[in-house]
Amino acid sequence: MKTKGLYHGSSIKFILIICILYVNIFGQTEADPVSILPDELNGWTRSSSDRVFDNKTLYDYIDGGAELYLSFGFSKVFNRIYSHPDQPDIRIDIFYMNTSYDAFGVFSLSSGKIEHDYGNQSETTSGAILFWKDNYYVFISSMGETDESAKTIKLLAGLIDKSISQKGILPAILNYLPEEKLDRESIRYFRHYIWLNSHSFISNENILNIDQSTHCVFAKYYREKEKGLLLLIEYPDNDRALIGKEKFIQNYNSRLASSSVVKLENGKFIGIELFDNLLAVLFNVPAEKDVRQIFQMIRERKNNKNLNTNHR
Amino acid sequence: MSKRKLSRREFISAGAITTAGMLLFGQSKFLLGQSNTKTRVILIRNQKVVDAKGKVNSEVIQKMLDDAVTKLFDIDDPVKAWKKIIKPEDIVGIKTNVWNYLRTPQELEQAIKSRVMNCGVSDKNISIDDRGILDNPVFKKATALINTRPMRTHYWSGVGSLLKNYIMFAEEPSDYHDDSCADLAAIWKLPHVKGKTRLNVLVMLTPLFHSVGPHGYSAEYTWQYKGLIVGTDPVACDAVGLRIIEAKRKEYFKEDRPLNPPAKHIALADTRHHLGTADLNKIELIKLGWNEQILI
Repeated sequence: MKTKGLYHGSSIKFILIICILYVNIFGQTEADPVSILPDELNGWTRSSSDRVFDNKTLYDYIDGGAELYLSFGFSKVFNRIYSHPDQPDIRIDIFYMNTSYDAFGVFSLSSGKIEHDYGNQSETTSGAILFWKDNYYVFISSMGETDESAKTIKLLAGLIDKSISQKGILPAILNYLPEEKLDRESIRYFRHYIWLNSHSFISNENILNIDQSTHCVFAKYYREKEKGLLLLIEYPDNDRALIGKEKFIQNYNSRLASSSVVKLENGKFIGIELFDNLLAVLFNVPAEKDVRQIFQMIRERKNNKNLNTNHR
Repeated sequence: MSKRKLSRREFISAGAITTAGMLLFGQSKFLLGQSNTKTRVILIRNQKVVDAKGKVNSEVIQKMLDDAVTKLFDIDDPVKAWKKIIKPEDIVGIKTNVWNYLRTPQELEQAIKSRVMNCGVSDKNISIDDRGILDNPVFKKATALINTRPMRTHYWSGVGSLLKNYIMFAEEPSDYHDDSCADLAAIWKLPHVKGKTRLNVLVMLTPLFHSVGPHGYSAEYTWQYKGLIVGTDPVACDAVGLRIIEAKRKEYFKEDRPLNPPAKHIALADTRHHLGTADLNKIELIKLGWNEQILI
């Protein structure tokens, strides 16, 4: 019995060690960024109870902006307000988006310029910092800005950024964007047709059958001082991509039915091309050869099975 | 016997009766700014209306409002001009906007109220409200509405507009969110709203031309335009404001950066709901005051 007991005890210890090693190596659980928020910082203290909103209560919290988050998908948003006797309140909003794709998409549609001071991408404006990292979209702001509030907002942004250990990955469809002459700041990612007019008016209707199963990206391309616009849509399968292409041609420019590149009245070119389940549309391109060149680059990238889908 | 509060539905029904009465007196076409001639819209600006910190000068904004209204109706005296749209027996709801980042200035609210009182309306028959209008006793009995709010970019409707300012008249505001708020103008046809709006004042003192973050506001994307847009046609006023916002975006971003989503509810208020005109070619835009960087 004693031998068996020792043996049994050693087994338990061994299993425990293995478990601890496994957790340390593979199972590094993400610390909730909320857990690192201080109660007091630079004279600001928590002024009220923290609040949490979900997709049913977000309308109660955000006046006018809820649909942006709902059109991607999130589980909750955490809100905390810090107060200071002589300074403006500081508000923290942390959105727990469903995926890093969603966090990136929201940022791409809600920022004015792209910087890299916090998270994967950030923007610092007067009285506010916003950034995304992993599946978190973070917004820290004050009603009015002072030197002290700006400094404290930066400290909070740094703390939250540091607490999120994973970067997350970008949507794979971004890998199909040719790198040459790409305006990186112009990239917009979405899965709801309402964002189809992100760069230029395309349509008020869902003329490309965009829904939550389609990944869409818009980006601008330089040619000297002119810019063309590339829209890529990845459909779940080839059949749906073909239907999307035909619907677009029917509703946007029927001349594309007989030719994949068409010259418009303004002298610019529009082109459309299907690469299996990936639909590419180029708008407002200065030269026909540019359209064909960009399509060729997309084709090469689509055929390259070794494209890295991780964060670029 | 205690006084029974009107339910929201009863309030809306009562509005239908008031509206029917107004239609009998044939005012609605004038009040909506629809006629065979061009719709007149006044854009007035004054460099002194806000200081560097954004504080509003109440005397200047009163004068701007007076100048705009007198020009709008071609009547020299501001009180006489107001009397063209407000009668002493009117019950007046001033629909404001209290969004905490960029609210209708209280100095403007008081300037409007002051002129309404000059028309002989008693204080108890005037109310300034935003989110509580459906439960507000003055708004429940209102025979006249004044609509005022700042213009700002908006994630779903493109811009927060005069048209959108009436969403609080809807029992379920979310009913009007479909298709990026395309049919906001339908609210203006609700029985308790239709035909009551006598004046629209779109505040363009420090408009927001780009939204960032969940609350959509950053001071970085506002500018001191120092203007008011005044008219009887909310669609025309919004169309003018929208053009200025679009021009500012182009100037700031140094390229065309359309509103996303587009503010289609303004165009559809014209083409689908026939509430007013969004066609700038059909608008008689009169510019008063400071003219630098006017953007339109």
